Amino acid sequence: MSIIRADALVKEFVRPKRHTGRFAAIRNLVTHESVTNRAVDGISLEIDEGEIVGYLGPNGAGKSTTIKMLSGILVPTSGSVEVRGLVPWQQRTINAFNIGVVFGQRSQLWWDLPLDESMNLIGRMYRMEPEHYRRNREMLVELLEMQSFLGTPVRQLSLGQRMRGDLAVAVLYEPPVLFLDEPTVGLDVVAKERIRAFIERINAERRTTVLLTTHDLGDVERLCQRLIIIDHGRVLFDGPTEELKRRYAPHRLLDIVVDAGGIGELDQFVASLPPHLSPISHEGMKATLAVDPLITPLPAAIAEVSAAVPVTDLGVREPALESIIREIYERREVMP
Amino acid sequence: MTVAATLPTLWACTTMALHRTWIYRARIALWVFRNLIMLFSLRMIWTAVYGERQIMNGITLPMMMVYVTVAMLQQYLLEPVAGAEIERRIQRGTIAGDLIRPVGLIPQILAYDFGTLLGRVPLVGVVMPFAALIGSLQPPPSVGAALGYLASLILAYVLSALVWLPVGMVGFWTINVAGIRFLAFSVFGFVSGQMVPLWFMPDAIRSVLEWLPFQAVVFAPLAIYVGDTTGSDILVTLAMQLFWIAVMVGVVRFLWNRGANVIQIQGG
Repeated sequence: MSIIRADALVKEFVRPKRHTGRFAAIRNLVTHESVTNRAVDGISLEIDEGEIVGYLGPNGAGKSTTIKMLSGILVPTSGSVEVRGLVPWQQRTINAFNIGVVFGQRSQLWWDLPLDESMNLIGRMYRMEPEHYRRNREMLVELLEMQSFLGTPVRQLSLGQRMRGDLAVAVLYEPPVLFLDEPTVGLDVVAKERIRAFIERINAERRTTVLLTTHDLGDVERLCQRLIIIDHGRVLFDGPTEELKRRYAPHRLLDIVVDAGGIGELDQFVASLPPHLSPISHEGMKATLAVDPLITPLPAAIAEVSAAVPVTDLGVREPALESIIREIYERREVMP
Repeated sequence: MTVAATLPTLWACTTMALHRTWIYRARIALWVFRNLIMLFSLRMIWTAVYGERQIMNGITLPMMMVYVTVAMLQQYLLEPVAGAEIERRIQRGTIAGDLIRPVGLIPQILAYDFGTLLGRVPLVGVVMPFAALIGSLQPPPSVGAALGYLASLILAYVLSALVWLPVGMVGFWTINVAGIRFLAFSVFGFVSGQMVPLWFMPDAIRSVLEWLPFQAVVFAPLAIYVGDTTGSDILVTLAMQLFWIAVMVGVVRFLWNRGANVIQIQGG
């Protein structure tokens, strides 16, 4: 059963038109032209309970605007949303108990209060029983390793610490739905991993439904079985991550390494490749070839390479999601 | 959801404001210091204004001293935190988070305002003895006046928050309210009786101001305190304040119903 449903969602922003150039300031004062910008243009989606869905799109595609409508912060221009049967912007105060939201770019913690104080306030705002609060706080402090900076005012926390704090308050009252808008933005590798592991765990233990926007495909590879890709406020792709990979990249990548003595043979081999092997890159002692396993079985391709070149190392890779997404963003469409 | 059910949430907002008020200790010390200086300068100004005269427009110098001193102290309690706070949250974009809390934005802001008030009461308590010591502050002339003042001050506080909320709420449409707020603040100082009591204004201006809500925030309670408004007139004052509160509740509701749909979130 779907826990989040959006149908033909549209959001238009109207802003006054700003002139530039000669007498711009005066023209801005006296004219009243406005520009309408359609940030979300008919997005429909359904998300089932317990799913972790990656919500991707280039900058300005309408991701954050969608999240803000799904969480009830913005009122859509048209279309409908239901989250657990509630219309978020009409039933904000009841819906609040059902959702947790993290905006990576902006903290929801109180700037000048210690983190522990923020958690306490959220616990009281969501009317948690003291025992319930104590249990969850303890669990989160341990899981997110927050003990050392609980007493520090939020404005003095590092980005990674602050993000952990934001995640902690978002899940403190155990909302069944979690909207995460770039929760790993600007974090280092270790901090990212900590956040990912936490999301994975919350999803597994509480069956929390997660909608996650990110530009880090490591997040997606690690967490999301399903992707929704949007651009210009429209859905380009909605389906399993594997399906996207299959459509784009049925092929595998073969990394070949030779020693200094094999450079000549490698050059020669790459220069006269059979049609079922295509070059991706080639430089000195290394080359990468693409193989379509439906045409050439991988063992056959490996045997062929080994026979022609004195290979010192050989690896097989799936093409990274990153290159697929890059291609989609650049072409602004998804392969059928 | 009943109002009672949301009380713990609102109380959380109140204590948060209370804590924030007390975090910046230097600011508190400066406020006390500034007000001590104000006490003396007000005394000098009004003594000079009265000169040799004992009474002006039916108001004696001691009455006047009490008026301006209590006006100064109560101004701190009545300061429009709500309007400025809503503007701050709109500009910083943190209003996004406030909109997904289990209680409405306006009640949150009012609860926050109340917390600031609670944080400030002790500070006023610190300054009061000094004011009494130099003879600028005297108790109200009667128990009735004292009780009347207290009741009127509470209503004045509620009204003050409601009068200033719409100024901040203009930010739903324009984002930046600083100019409007500054203008409103300057005008308010005059029309409310904060700078000069209504007694000293020309009759024409005074009779107009008496029909506006602003004097109900500052002048009305003070007139009870100094004993100018007495007896059943106190009840009339309280009724007038209640009337303006009802009107402003309507205005705030109207603005919220329209504004909630146009809120824009800054950044990200």
